[in-house]
Amino acid sequence: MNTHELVPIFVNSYKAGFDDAVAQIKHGVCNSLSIDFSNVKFFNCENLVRFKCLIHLAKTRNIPLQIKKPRESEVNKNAVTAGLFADAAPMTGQNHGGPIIPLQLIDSEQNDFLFEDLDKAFSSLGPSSNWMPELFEALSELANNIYFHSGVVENSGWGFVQAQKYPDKNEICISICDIGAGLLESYRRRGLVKDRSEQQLVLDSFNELVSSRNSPEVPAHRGKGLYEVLSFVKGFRASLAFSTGSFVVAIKPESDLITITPRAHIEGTLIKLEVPIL
Amino acid sequence: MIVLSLKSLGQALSSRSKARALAETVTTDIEKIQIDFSEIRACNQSFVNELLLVLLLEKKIKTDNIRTSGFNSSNVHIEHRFKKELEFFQKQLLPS
Repeated sequence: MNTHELVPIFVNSYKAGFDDAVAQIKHGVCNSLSIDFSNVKFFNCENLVRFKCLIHLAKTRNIPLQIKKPRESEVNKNAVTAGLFADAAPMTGQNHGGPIIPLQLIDSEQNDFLFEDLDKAFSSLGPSSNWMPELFEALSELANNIYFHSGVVENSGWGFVQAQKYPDKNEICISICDIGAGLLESYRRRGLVKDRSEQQLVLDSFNELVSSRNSPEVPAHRGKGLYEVLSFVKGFRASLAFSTGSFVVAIKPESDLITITPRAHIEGTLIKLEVPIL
Repeated sequence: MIVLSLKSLGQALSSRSKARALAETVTTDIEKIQIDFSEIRACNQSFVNELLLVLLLEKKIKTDNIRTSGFNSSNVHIEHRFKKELEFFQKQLLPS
């Protein structure tokens, strides 16, 4: 979905891109926000988590918010089911009965409820659901990263996660997103950049024990979280798109290669995981 | 020998704070420990890391004195993760 064209966003009555809107709210120069979903024909996982983050940010800053809901009733129903317009994210372990995990707020490291959600939503998939424990473990590492590193200070970050089964594509799509510090800033403030470019940092973050370049004597937070995610992706023939700052890392099931390409700058981090149903 | 039974309502453990709270129930006079995973189906690396960090470095339990139990077909992947993490502590942090 091209947000500029399909979802006009207005900050202080002026049209703005998604990331411009986020930046203006963060910098305290946004006095009103309007998001127009009326022409949206389909919400994918990534758009749901991104827009939920924007709405949540505006609400937590007490910014007057106007939302125009999708004109098409089916599209609006899907967005409502996912929890896009809800005041609060659905709480622990709840889902709406279908193969979907509604938008869930991540704002602590207590995210074990995600396992219950995955179990309820996807345990009927038969042999495919064998991946559930390991999917949860990968997802919980991503959620922990959001809480630990994306906030203004350590251990204060927040974001959203959502998962959905797409029968036509025979896969589960999971998106997890924050609009916080982003990987580069998070490393910078911990003094862990060590002369690396953003591109190198993003790549390093997937390498076991290289990520933070901690000394071997440091036993915790030594950069294994994303390596665990990578292991899951490779082990279960999943695909991953990991966007942060000005780069996107892609891992496809048909290749062992990790590719990294430049992209338009985004605030925070957006991760999309697609797991095949066998 | 004491048995530390890992329990969670949703059969999943993923937070460092829970790992620390569990490991801190072990008193410093304990020499041998058995960690039972029979009620756990998912347990991430951060949890295992923090659990071992407290037991080995703060409670000073020797790696040889840490046993595990309760692994089965639904949580066998945790056994692999646990052994790998234990090896890390053994090689990198606790030179003989």
